[in-house]
Amino acid sequence: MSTKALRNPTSPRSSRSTAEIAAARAEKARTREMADRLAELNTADMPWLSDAGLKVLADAPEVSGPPAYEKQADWR
Amino acid sequence: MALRRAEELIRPVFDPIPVSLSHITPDALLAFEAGWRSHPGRRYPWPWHEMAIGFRRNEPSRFEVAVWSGPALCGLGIGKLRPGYCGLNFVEGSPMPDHPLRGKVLAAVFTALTAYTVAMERQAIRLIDPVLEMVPRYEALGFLLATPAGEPQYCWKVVS
Repeated sequence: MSTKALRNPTSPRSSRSTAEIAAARAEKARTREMADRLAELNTADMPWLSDAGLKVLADAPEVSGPPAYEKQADWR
Repeated sequence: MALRRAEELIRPVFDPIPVSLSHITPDALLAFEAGWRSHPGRRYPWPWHEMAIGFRRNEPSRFEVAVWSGPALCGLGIGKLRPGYCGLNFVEGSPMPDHPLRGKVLAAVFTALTAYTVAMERQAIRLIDPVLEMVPRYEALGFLLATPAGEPQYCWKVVS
């Protein structure tokens, strides 16, 4: 490909690059928004991390789910 | 990113016991195979290898976590992302009676589940088909029990 073609903003190569840049920016924005949401989380939102909550779970069976894995096929 | 945030939240609470979170990695499955699979203390004989493969095949967006204390695998959890919520379908603590996070595995998994749910912009977490004897404890932690007709019951809690 010639240098002229590489510089042509209407060439497929240039369009693809523009799309890639836009996608990268969108992904960066999504990542930043996700980080912001996670930063707002705190232990007050999670009663199981309080002293009382830890006591509730302290001697509990550490298991949740059905007895057999096979049964999960149709679960939502 | 969600697991890292969950670690930040639980480490001060569990201190001085070390804790880290990962996905269900090959190392986690090796640790399961070496120490858990045939342990007589297991409540259910869940095949975590098969479960991890099945969920990865059918659930492109899924929740999965392995809870570690140093080199000790202390817990495994896996669930499904759905519109409006993220479900925790299976969670199991180590059957080793003296594992370092005894009594804390569910708290770690619920924290990771909450972080993942918030990260994925869902509004609630669901514990699918909970062990019935645990329901009063979950209710004490703010969960509500739902018993939909023809489907497994679940405990749910709004997270955002």
